[in-house]
Amino acid sequence: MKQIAVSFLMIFLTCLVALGQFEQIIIPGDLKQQTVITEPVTLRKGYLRSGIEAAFITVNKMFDEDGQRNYYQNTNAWGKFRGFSLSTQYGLSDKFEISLRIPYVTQQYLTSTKVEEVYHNEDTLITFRSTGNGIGDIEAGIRFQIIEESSDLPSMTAGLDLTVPTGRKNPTNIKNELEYDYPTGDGNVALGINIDFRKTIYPYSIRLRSYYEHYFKGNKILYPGEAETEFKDGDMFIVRGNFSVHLNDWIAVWNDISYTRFGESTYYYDIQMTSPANWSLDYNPALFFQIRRIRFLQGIIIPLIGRNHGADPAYIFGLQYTF
Amino acid sequence: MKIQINIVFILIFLALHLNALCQNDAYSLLTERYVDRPVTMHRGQLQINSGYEFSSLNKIYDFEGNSLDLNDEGIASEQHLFPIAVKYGILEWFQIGASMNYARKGLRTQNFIYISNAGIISHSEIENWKGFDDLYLGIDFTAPFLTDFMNWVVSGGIQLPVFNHEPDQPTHTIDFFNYYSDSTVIRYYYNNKFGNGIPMVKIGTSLKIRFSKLALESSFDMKKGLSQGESVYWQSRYSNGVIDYREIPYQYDPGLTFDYQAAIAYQALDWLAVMFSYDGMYASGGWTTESGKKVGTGKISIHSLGVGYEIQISPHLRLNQFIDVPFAGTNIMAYWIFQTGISMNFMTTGK
Repeated sequence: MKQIAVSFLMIFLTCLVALGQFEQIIIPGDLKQQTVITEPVTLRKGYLRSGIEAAFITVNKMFDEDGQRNYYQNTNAWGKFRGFSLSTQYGLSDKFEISLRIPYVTQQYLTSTKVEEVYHNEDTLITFRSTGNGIGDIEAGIRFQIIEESSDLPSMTAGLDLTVPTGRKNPTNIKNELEYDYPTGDGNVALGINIDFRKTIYPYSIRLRSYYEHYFKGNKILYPGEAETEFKDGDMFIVRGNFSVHLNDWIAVWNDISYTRFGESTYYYDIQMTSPANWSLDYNPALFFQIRRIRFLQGIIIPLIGRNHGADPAYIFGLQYTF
Repeated sequence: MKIQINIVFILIFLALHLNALCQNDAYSLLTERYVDRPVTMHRGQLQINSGYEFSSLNKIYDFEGNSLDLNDEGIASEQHLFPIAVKYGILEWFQIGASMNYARKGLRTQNFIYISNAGIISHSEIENWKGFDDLYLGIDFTAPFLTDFMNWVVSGGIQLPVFNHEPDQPTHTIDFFNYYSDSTVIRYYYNNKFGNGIPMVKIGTSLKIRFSKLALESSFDMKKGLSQGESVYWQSRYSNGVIDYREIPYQYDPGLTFDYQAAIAYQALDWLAVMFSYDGMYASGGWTTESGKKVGTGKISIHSLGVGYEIQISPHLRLNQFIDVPFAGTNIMAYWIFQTGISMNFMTTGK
């Protein structure tokens, strides 16, 4: 009998040892170390999160009016756009969060043409290199949890964002119609409202987010050499569906499908002009690494289909710390 | 009876213990630190690699190795590539593998405006590549000595042209209505493929020397076509508002290509390794009859430096990312590369 008991004990210990081999490597133990899936939808009271986000885009292709993905202006004109943002969020209460985003923009656009005058036997190389660096439009926001997430209900959050035109709105240092310093801001005030839902069933989360932004009228130089003209950008509407999953305790995969639509823009010249509405459907996979209080994210926004809209992927990187 | 019961329990105990050992073995093999891992698969290990690679034209090097101004040349190019590779360890020292890439690439060159008595013609060309490249099938042998300290692997394989490599007929747009009243704007779109069009044999060797937190790696590969290739290029002629295309056959030989790499990997944490690498390529002996005569493609070389990391996400899943930036070359368009890869690993047999 004793031998049987010893055998059982040994079997039990063996199983325990085997089980022990599959323990996770890192287990975040602090609330400030919660991941994008497990944390509440707004920051807890007194928590401060600050970080830098960066976006890189090669301006190369766009969806034309027929929805075809074509090269930008169908020429060899191309560009690089880099946006950096200093962002901060603070939890005023467990349900109420305020935020501030200060962007810095660098952009460069290039084009080159060789002109051959056959009967003069001459050729001329014309190249244009335009840049635009500086602070962009600063954005401030508030978010409030209307419904707190429970085992039955998803969370519901509403928010307001205000964008003020702190970026340079007019082209400067104009050499010709193709060579000048690009604006770094839009030149108008924008007010956005968002309503988000989230349900977490660990290790998964599902989100449905919507955002509407209204652009107020503004004045700016629309093309180099012109005087300032009143304009009204078309309002923006975004709806996003998201499915995220933990790969392990500290890495989450983020999958966003979003539809973005900008309405028709109006330019109040002597004769009023408009530019058409545009839209795109994008897929945004991303990885979120939560290493203690540090969060590192990287993702790519891939335009799938659209009309009159940029068709280049955007690479997104972010580094945040929760104090 | 007592003895029989004891024997049964001892057998059950041994079976469970062996099973646990196998699981432990599979687990420990799948979660091996990067620096401890051999170059090839373990016996019974199946590895599926995929990911995404973005490349953007960074520099153009001429025949003398001078870097040209991309803006003056009017050249812009980028590539999106999705690799797929499968490896399987048949024995601890013998691995088989297959790989292939799907990619999209665009290249735009300088716009030309011709001014003559007949009017103004603006002409631009956009080259596109799209599709799969060649299928690579390969085997790897690990030398059976000093395997605790180093891995020396000898590899061989063949690239098979399983997809059509000949370019499709170009397309174009003609715009007679633009801001120059007497001008015509013509845009050509060339539709190319990625395949080499000929079987190419590849042999190489790689070495990995392992320390407790460091690994030194190097590899050397040689690639050569087994025959001359044949393809076509498209000539166009614009006349009275109409463009005619003509298909011209030509022969080519990509020559002999050497790829070499050296890397140092540092195991910062059990689940994180950081790598610094040097990559080089040298090709010579290639020629083409595209211009009507047999013309050598010249010596081609590129050198780049890379930095990256690998994370062990779970026993079955690894994530890696690399940035590779060219710093020297001759006769080549050099791209910087940002690559994200995932590696899924399974043990198909208990070791």
